[in-house]
Amino acid sequence: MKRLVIIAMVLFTMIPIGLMAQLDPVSLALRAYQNKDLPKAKELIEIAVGDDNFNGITKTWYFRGYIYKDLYKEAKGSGEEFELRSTAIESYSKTIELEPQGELVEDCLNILKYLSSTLYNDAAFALDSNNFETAQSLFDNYSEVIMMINPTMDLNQRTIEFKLYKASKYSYLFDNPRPEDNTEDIGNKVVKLYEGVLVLDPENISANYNLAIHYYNQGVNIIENMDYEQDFETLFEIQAQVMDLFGAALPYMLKAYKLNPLRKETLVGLSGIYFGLNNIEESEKYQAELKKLENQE
Amino acid sequence: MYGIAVKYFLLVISLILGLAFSSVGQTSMNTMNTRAKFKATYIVNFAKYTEWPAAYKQGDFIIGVVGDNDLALNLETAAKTKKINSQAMIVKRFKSPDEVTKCHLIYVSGKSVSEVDPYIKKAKEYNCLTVTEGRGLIDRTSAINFIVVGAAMKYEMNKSLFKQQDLIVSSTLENLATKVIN
Repeated sequence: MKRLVIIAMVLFTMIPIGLMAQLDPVSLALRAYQNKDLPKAKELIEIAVGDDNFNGITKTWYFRGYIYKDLYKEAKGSGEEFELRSTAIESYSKTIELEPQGELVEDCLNILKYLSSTLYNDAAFALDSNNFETAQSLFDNYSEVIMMINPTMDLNQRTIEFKLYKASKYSYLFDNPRPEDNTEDIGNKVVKLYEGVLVLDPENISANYNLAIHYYNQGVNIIENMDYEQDFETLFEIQAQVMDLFGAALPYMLKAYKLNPLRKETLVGLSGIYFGLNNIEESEKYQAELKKLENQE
Repeated sequence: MYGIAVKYFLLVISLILGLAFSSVGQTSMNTMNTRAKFKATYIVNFAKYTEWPAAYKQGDFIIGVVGDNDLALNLETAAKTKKINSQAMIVKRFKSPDEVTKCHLIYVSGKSVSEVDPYIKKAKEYNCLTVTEGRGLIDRTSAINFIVVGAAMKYEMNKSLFKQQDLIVSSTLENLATKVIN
């Protein structure tokens, strides 16, 4: 409420007196906003934005940001919130653009930070619902806003988190495909995402471990689906294919081990991969390390 | 007052961001025994490409397993739907040489002759195809022995031990063996 009063005072002091007297659309929009009539406030602020007398004034955009931010909050879950938030972000950005050193910049940046956090969270929720394209679009939008707030900010950590989460969701779909899913396509996406993380951070344990497991599980799935009466020719082909996948898994699991030799899952993984590669000696070596580790607990 | 509010606001944002992908988990590893399924598939093929004396072509097709529980489980799974030359598959697990009874094929785990020999000797009382996995076991002990070539599971064969048990090995099985002892 206090903030609202400040906004109102700022607005009234900034709008030319002549315009005030005419009850200009910005003032009217503010009145509607104070009366919590957001649809009316929106209508009026759009008139102001479309009017050359007002669209060059910083406060017009600043106020439009507030109206759309509140509309966005009210519309959550309706499907309209994305567009409203986008307009709010656009309005705050325009405010900063018009007066980069102005007194409203700090407030705009804080609200943009808030709105960017909602973009980030919505990207996660979209992934939870397997809406991959929406999630990517939201995350890209989040990145743009963050770069606007702070062009020198390192987005790698957030990008890595997003890619890892997206990969884990694709990975789940790969293991539990829906009738409409193309598992080969999904599998390739999983690999690309983990590889993308490793480009940003070659020492990322999760990406190394999960990529290894992805390759390994692909091999195991092939074995699981193999018929016991498979003829020799096909059996040899399957075995070669599976060995290739286990072989692809090994360097990533070894890297995960190198990064943290005391991680139990990695020891289990290495033991399993070597076992699958028929290298029983190495498999038993990591099994022994695992037992030693468990005995120390 | 306003500064505190901003700090609180930013704290809330950071908490929200921290929670967003907090459920990023690791992919679960499939823990199936990969070698056991391959071995079981090989064994079903060994049986298909071997001919037993007439008396063994009737009744159930019995496979004995010593010491490899996962292999026995895989063979039991196969037995639910598969037949060997029209004979129903039965899997028997033997824990000591004395338990070994008539079977068409026996797999004995163990790396040395001394480990596997007591079972093999007992099995040889029948027209039984003997299968093992251990270095040197193909020389005098078992008719078929699993080996690893590169990273792949293969097999070697001792034809004289087939003959000794009155078993006829098909040319396919012989041609695909990594090594054949006549």
